[in-house]
Amino acid sequence: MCRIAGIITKEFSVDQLKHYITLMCNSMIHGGPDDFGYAVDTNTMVCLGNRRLAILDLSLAGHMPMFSDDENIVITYNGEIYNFKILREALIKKGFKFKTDTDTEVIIKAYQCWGEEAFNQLNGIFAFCIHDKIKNCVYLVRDQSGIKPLYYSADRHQFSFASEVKAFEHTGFKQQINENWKIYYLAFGHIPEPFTTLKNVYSLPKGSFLKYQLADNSFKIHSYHEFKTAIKILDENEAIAGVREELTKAIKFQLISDTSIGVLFSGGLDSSIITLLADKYATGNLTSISANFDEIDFSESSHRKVIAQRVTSNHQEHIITYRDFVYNFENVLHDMDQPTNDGINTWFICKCAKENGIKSVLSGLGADELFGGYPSFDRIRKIQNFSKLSREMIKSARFLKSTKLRRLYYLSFQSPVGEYLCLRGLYTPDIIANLLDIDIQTVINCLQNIPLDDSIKYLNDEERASWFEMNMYMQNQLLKDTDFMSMSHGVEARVPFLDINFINLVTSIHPSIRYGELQKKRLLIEAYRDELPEETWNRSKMGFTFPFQEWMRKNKDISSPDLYQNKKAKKLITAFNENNLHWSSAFALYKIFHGS
Amino acid sequence: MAHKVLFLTLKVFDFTGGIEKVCRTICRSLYDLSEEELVAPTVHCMYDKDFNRDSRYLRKQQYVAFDGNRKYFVIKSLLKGMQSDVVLLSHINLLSIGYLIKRFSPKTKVYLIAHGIEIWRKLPETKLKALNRLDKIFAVSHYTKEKIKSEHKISDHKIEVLNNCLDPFYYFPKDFSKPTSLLKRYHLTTNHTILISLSRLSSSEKYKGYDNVIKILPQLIEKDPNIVFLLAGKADEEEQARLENLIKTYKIGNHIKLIGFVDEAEISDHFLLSDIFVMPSKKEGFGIVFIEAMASGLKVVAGNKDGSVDALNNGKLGKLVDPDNLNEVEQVLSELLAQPSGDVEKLALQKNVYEVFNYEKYRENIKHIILNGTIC
Repeated sequence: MCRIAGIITKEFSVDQLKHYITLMCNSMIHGGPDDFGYAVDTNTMVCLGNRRLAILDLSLAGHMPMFSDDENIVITYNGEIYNFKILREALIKKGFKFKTDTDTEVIIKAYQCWGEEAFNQLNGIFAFCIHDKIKNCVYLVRDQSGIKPLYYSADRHQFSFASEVKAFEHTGFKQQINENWKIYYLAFGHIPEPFTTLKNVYSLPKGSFLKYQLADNSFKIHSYHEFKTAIKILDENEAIAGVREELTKAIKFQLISDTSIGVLFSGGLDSSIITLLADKYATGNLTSISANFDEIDFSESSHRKVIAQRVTSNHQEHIITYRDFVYNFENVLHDMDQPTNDGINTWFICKCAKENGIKSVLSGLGADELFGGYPSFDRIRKIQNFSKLSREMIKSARFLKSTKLRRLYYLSFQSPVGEYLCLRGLYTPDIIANLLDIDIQTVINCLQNIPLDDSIKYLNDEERASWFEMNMYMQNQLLKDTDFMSMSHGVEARVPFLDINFINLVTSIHPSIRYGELQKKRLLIEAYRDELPEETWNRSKMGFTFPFQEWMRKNKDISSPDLYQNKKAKKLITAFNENNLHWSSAFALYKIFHGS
Repeated sequence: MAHKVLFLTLKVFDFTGGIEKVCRTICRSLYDLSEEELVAPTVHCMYDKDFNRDSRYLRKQQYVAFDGNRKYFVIKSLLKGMQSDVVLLSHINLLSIGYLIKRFSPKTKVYLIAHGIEIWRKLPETKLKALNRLDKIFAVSHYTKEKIKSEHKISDHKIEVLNNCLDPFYYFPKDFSKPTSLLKRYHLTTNHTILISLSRLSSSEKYKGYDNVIKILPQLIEKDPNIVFLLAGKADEEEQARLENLIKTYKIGNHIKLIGFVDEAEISDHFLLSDIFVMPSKKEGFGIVFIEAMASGLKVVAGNKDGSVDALNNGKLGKLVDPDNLNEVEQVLSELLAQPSGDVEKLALQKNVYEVFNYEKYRENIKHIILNGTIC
């Protein structure tokens, strides 16, 4: 697990390339504290850099960038390939010889063996760059579920890439701010892919690779993986057996590590399942890590006890206080690679993991999206009915008092983006226009022009909600935040529910079985009913929730209306102080007016 | 069977003063006792808004905020109080409700927590009558107890002293070095000698004693030109203007900083930043701020004419001075400044103040009051 970067340009000398790649990599040192390396090809002026967080094969053999035996292939890589041992065996059978125990070498040889076909054989979390000197091209490759980030920037002078957007400030080329980022952020609470806060820096789509031709400096993005959507499982028992089998496999795969491994254990359904399974298959070096609070409403400690008693792993409970929040707030903002309304909780819990010497943690992320754990799964049908009303009527929703109802305005959008924003948006276009002092039509146009995959057109009801949750909320917010917040402490987050085989299985289950009408995530509960105590699944969803509403209201550096010059912002912050605005909306104001 | 307890308050979370701090600690004590299933508590708050509840202190279901709706508060409290085993009144202004509860439900024990000036002053006959009907009064200091006895002629056996304690969530620093972030914020260095006082700076309350510290500051500066007085606390406009004029008059602008409101998260760090906490106040019921300062290892100078005497454990924990005697205040400060505390002394002070004023002991006292009607 590492941070990667690269620059391709003929405008710099070799020394300049080395200088800038060092700066880029060092700006991401938190995610790769163990080693630094770079490689420059003086013929093509391809410069690859790497900051390493050593998790597998901790020796110098894992140094990156890594070369193939004939030195024609160079790779800089961030991630873990969970099936690397299987691939290694297959490659050995084909006559390949290995010098190291790393998964990096497996990627090189898999590429040498199967070419571009190799990418879809990798099961894991990864983003890497391969420089193929024979084919005179460079590949950027991102994992199927988009767990590891990869950003790129291209113009006629240069091509660069990095694991974090902030690294682009050090490419040696001037970057322009994306003027739309504030609109995106105030509407979504994050910056949706492929956009970033920089005008010419984009996120590579998940399950795709970018092929850059060094001969003419052109590039094209190709999709190499799409999750299957065909329904194959119509029987509940078959679905339950499949879920149990594939999740167990995913957990076993993801427990590979040469360092101690942890589980982020909130006490909710998803993390309890992961904890129980990981405990069963871990070889003794497992620690479950939980955040606890002085705030009684947010303490899940008693719920965790029941599970903690059933496992043998070491359990670490950390109290995170208002004081911790105040004293770390600036650091949290600094470590936020892209503006987001989430991830602060991940920052704190991964800090605890780091303090316990843990470099990899398993997270329950993804189960809500796959099995229908969010309120959006209930609301989607109602929203679909609203869409039948005239647009003018829907637009009048922005005059309503309730924030949730105001978001109905978004249903007047031509694009399905409107539906998502109705389900999960922060502010409506009129408020955004007021806050940014711009025209409302500019806001609407900006949001309606966000590209969406065509597959959404053919989905309805819970499957549509699941698509929004997986491809928008989880992709653009949860995964992105989890990556940069965990990596800011040099901790790698692994997500068993997003294992490709597990997703393929779950998406092939008929919706009537997959989603529970009366009981959320019913299938997942049914699959683990025998192992889980009833109080783990039979209670209202708490989630991985921190007392931010209390903390941010209490902290006058965030909640004092005097800090906000913009009239609308002042009014909204006043509403926040009266508890009439959610903390995430208030935090977005802070970030826009003071934290960026 | 858990004891049904009704705790009646004016403000708990909407305001941060000494009385409110005590109320919060009692709330948490009641919560802890409810977890032990000894107590079934309900807290009624007349002026708070429901959403301002700090969820560290009690559960949502245990707390009803009336947002200034006094009639509703009275009716609900009366009805609830009559069904309760124990009613705790957090303020003398709630006496009439306590009196009515006692009238309608004589078996209900009604106790008053008596703090400071609100009960030291003369009371109307009706209130005195109600005061006498209470089962017991718990005074936060011996000074308050004596005042009640002398002013209101309440017999000794009806008053017990229940000293305040450190907040259950008070942060006890382990490292006593001066926080660099605060030094930077206030443009100070470790060479500065820092005095601090922390209280509400109110134009209507002129008893906190910071005026006297300002008056002696020129003499202290003569002895130590690196001296700086941090006057912390939210000031009202009138008091801010008055203090600014006072600072001009004494020409001490370079040696005093009005640093305003200090966030709860930063209080202990402000004490670490400082060399002495000085507040020769004259009308403290107890003075929780003194024990908080000492819990951060900070030496304290307080007045000897009010409840501060209890907070400093009769001078065992800090220096008591005559707040009106400027020479004495100056002399004591000079003496203390001449002998700066090292980490060992700070740790010892922290330990000593914890032993006397820890929350766990306070919670036990609340338990005894509820179960037995007495601390002993």
